[in-house]
Amino acid sequence: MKAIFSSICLLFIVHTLPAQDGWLYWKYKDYDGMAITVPSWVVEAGSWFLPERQERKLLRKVDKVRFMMFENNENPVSDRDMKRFTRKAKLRGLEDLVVVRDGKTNVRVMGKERRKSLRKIVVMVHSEDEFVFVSVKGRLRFNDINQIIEKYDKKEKNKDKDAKPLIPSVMKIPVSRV
Amino acid sequence: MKKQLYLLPLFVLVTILSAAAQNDGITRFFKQYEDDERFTMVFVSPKMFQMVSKIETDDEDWNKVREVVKDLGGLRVLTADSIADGLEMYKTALSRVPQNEYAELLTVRDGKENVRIWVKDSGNIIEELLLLVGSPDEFTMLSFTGKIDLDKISELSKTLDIDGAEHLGKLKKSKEKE
Repeated sequence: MKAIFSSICLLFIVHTLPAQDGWLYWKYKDYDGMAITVPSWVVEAGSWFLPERQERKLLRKVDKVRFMMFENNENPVSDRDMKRFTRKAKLRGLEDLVVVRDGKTNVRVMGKERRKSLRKIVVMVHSEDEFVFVSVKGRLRFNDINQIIEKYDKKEKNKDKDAKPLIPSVMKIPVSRV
Repeated sequence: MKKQLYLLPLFVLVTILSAAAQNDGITRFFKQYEDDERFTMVFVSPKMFQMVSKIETDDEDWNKVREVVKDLGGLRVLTADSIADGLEMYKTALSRVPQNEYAELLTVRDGKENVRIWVKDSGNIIEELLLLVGSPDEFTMLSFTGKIDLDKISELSKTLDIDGAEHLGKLKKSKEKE
């Protein structure tokens, strides 16, 4: 009897766990604000328009993006639900990466890493009048992220080289203390 | 023999509890003020440092940061730049630092500003660095954990955009004086 009871409990836990992750999104998605789920096929289609191969490659590794935003003093998400979400997310293997609280604004970045790739990133900004929730699910490999960063890094450096100084270096501006 | 076996878990428990109690004062101080709106709270988890250290680029500055970050365990900051009782807070925090556990590394008083840095080491490895800054209207408490190299950590003072982190640069200067 005990064994049956424990197996039922285990089955229940295993069955309900996947639903806990997007729980906050599903609860508040119909409130006045913005809530979008971008499925993998849309992400894939979006990647066709990217000119660079590396960016396309990275974007194709994104499975799903969820975005939810409330602003203009219309934040329905309670502190209690935020705490509940964090607790449940941790049960699902998401870990706190960065937590910042400045005044009444809370920023939390959570992530899940598995087999050298980022499986999920959740970013939440929560204040009395605003709420932003971004969840990106996929298989983002660190090597791919490295390549993109390197590419942009090189671009930035080239930009700095090409940029002409506003004041030619030969021109000296006389400065005197009044 | 059996009695000794029973005592073993008890011994392990006491050891763990006593180790936790040593650090308790500082942790409790952080916990006490982490929800206080006068302060800004920042927490960067070990996982974040681990992930960041996997990002490889050709950028020299970044590689310097990577070198420091790869061995870090976590960062906790509590800071306030416009409070009325900065010095009182400083004194309270000072009393919570277990002096027998931490070795004082640096003390600076510049006008009404006080800066103190402690380290906690085991053997040759520095496991924690604690920075405390207090002035009549400012207060900062910063704690780094992990394997800390004092030369390298002073490099972070340029990278971290956190009030009070610039004092980490004093570590290098004090070492150079020696």
